[in-house]
Amino acid sequence: MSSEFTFRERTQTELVLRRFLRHKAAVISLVLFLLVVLFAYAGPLIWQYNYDTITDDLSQSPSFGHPFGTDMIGHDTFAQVMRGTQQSLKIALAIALIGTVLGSLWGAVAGLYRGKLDFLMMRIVDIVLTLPTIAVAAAVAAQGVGRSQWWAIAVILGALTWPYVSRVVRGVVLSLREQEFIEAARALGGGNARIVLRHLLPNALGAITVTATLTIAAGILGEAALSFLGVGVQAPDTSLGLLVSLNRDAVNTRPWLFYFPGLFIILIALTINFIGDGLRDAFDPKQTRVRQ
Amino acid sequence: MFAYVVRRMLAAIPVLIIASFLAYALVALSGDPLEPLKLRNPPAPQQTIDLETQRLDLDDNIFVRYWHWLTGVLHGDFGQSVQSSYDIGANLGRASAVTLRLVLVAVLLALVLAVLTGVFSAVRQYSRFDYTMTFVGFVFLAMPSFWIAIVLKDLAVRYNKATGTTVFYTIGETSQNYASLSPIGKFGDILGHLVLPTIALALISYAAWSRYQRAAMLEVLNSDYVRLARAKGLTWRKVLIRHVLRTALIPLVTVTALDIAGILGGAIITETVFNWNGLGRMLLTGVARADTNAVAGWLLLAGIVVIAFNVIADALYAVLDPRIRHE
Repeated sequence: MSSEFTFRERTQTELVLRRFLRHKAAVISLVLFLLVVLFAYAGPLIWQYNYDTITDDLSQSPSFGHPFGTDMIGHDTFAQVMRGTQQSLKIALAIALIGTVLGSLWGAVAGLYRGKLDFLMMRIVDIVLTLPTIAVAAAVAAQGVGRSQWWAIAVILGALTWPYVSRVVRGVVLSLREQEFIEAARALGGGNARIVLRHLLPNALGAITVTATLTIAAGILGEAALSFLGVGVQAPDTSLGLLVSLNRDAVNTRPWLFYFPGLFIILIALTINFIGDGLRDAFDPKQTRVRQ
Repeated sequence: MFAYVVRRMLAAIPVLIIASFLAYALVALSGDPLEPLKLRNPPAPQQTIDLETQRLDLDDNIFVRYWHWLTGVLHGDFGQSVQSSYDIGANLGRASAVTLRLVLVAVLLALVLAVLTGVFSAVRQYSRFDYTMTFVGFVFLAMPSFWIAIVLKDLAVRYNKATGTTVFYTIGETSQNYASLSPIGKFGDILGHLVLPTIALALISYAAWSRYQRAAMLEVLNSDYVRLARAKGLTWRKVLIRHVLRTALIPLVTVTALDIAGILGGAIITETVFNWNGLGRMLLTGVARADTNAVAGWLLLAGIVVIAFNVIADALYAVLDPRIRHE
């Protein structure tokens, strides 16, 4: 039977997926991350308390009724962590989206056109990178339009994140454009649009996806830092960073108030970093050394 | 080399001018420092508001205001603060001395730990040590700096309480009685207060840097010239230090310089946790008051520090890689 020896052609997507599924830490992380998302978005629909519900139970340690305990006003910490995770995730995803889109376009244009335009665009990147993100974000977020609105925080942090993405994308585009298959496509009569859309973008997509993933982790930590300094999300709304900040003096006396939101920040950032690591290996198997 | 460093610093001036203008404009346009006066109940008299507008140079357009500020700074005058008795220049000097010693010690600690971990992880690739440190690195990378700082502080407080001593200082950059201490006592006091914030600040950078160092070591270890060096009969120790480590330090130098702005940001947070009176508090106070001159001066100083570190990094390339010569 000839069918025994025929192979079905695997598409690029299938290959990437197969390689990703082989990265154990990344797959476990993806499952954990999806559970966190489910917890944040579906949880509040089921859970009996809202994040702003004030119960009669004051400063209780974790129990069956309040898995993460309560604070001194009577808020259920479990519900607050749900809401905080929701807000933090929303902000982090928005930061990653803004940073990735802006940064990819910026880097791709600079890498493609090179010369003076590239020089100018990259000096602008240098200028933004000279200033400490947290300091600039704090300065703007404390005043400004829509202060302490979630989208304002996302816009500010996103506007400070794109330079990192643009550097990566520019590097990828610069090296891709010199490769033989681009030259071949040009020799075969491929126009600029075709080369960019059919060859450059699909090949740069891996690097962009990995960077975007890591930007989410940076976004979670950035939002947490801003809220910690008191210029991010404000009460009565909440976020993971704000919860840690508000409860920092309770670390000794009512540790559950401090540790649970903190552990969620770490869990999200950790899983996203592992997913990014898995994606990097999946998109670019050349970088992976043989695993034992 | 000296001429090269001077030239690089001069080339950084346009970058600094544009960056400081952006910072100045952002802060000036995003807040109104006279808001508390205007919203006061009863409202402040118009005369007071006019005088404050005059004093803070608020009635010109942003370009004129920036020009006044910049020419002032070049003459050593950082401009008027919203709070009239606050001397911005003097405070910048005092606060940066406090914060930069934290940043420098933390960077050094993180570098030493990162190089050691990276070298051992790479030499014993896929050993138990390598796997453990990889996991530890990932965990530290995922931790917010303020969280590590608070946990460290809590552990120290518990330890102090349990033993009835003050082994760890958890509040402030110096003790209350600092002024009355002898020079040696002062030095010890500063060191004692540095321990916890330095560890908190260093751990985050250490995590990322040890990963870079490990990757760079592996790349060099697998290169042809290292095989040649071994084949010539050089000892493993000599090969590792003179040939592998020296080359593998170059990427780390790049990453360190790139991360300095982030570390300055981390220092703001660490200082807040440990109640230091450094650049962190200065920035947050300035931001709360919408104090354009203070915040812009702060950001200018941060820009100078970041660029200085980048120039040092470029100079170090030449030391590490004999092929690079800065004429």
